[in-house]
Amino acid sequence: MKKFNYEDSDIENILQQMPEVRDNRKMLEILERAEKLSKKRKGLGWVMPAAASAAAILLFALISTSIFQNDRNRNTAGLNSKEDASTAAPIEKKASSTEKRFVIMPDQNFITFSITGMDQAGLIMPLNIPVSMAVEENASPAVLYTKYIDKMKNEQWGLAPLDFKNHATFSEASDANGNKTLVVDMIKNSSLGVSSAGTAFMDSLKESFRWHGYNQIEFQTQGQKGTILGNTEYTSIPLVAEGKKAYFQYIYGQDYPSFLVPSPDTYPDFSKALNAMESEQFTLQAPLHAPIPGGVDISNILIEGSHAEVKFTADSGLMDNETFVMMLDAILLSAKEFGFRTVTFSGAQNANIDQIGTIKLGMPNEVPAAPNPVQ
Amino acid sequence: MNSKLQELYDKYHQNLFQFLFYMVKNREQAEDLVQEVYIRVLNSYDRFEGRSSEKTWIFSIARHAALDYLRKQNRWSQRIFSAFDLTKRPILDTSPLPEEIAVQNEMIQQMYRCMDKCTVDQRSVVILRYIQSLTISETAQILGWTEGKVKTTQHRAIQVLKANMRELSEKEESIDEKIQLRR
Repeated sequence: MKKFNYEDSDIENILQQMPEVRDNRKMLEILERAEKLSKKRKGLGWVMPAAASAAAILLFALISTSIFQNDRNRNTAGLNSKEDASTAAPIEKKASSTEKRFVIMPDQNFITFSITGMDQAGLIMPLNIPVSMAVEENASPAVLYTKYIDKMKNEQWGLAPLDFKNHATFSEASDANGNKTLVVDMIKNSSLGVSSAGTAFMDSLKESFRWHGYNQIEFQTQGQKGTILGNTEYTSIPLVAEGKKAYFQYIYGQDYPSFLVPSPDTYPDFSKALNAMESEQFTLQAPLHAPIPGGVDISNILIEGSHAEVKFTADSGLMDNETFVMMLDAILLSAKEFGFRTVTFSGAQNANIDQIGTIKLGMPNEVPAAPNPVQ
Repeated sequence: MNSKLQELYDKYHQNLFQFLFYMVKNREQAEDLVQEVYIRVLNSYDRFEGRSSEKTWIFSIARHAALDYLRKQNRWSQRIFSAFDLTKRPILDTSPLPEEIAVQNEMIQQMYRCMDKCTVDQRSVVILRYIQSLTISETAQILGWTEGKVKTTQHRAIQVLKANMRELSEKEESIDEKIQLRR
């Protein structure tokens, strides 16, 4: 074997030539043995629970003796009650993997940063991935943006660096009707004025702040009205929260987290957006992937004011795991883009489940505030 | 005999066996594991009730049986290696090849060895996609993943295999050169 320069296609060809391997035993031999062993295990079925119960009783006895002993020691030593409380505090239940969500809910304070994806090959326009960080403070998004921009771990997430720091300061203003404006004050002679990075900055601003109730962005240069970004002059641009987008899964690589990203295109209605998210209809290329897996079909979408019901076919193979949490979160985010407030997921009777992660099927779920919680 | 079990056997047995064989790379072990799959099927069929497709369900049992076995193996080898204070494990398994592989050409044999370098997830995808010729969508259904995850895992697996195949062929070349020099 003298070949050094294997290409992907060579590897795929060799794998396709791997020999078929068959089990040469007789069917009767295999199945009869399996039945025999299965009965044997069922017969012993009581042994394990009984042993486990015995072990639990023993453990309980040991722990209570030790706690009783500790209490006595503490009482005699005169330890304060705070320490007692901490020892007696119940162990917090660990969150299971299916409790994970891919969205921030409206009851949380948060700030969003829209960051360009690292892998842009094959994409017509740069992909902006909004990530949201839950914060404890009540300050305005304009203040939080500057404060938390350094906390972004772009590289670790498979996203491009955010190079806009030091080019602008952010503040907000509101008029008598309560319309909020984001004021972006650029430094003089910023390189963003003449480079394509200026356009990227504009896209990032729009995608970062549309989640936060601003009606428009006003631009200044050192306090003077107007600025130039990417060779175009701007004084103000409107911000629209409902972008009529579908949501796709963005995976930069196996070792990076998955994100939900708004589609590069807009769609005329919710139904068309969901259609674009289905695996069978998906036309885009990696790093974008369809969030609705094969084997899941939406049979109907019923709309009543700001409520939508997304009905899956009875045989849609829904499962209670992270893949399907991501699918439902993607649908909820797209519902938000079309102005819906709540969504009910129904159908998929054969799946025989009433909940996926923390999302309940068959009852209204509130749409999220923003995608991709990060820490 | 349980007619449902027989039906499952007819539909999936050889594919399940082949999947397990390439996962654990040992015929006897694959035989035991496929047996274990039927035992688990018999013990849990009442609870199945179509929560996912039958194929997804039975392959997921097989995958978990293989994972349990590989974890156990891993624990043993870790204990043995730490007992002998060996800091590095061999680059590739040098145990004898099973008959089916030993009669194949050298490239196939090398690929079989290189599959050790893939993670369990990568190996699962490689077997289903290339050896069993399933589509991305079928593989995603069997593994309960999105198609995106299948594509990404597949891409990474091909890169791992490519790097190791290149490395192996370079090594062989240098061994050949040394032999020629000695002559």
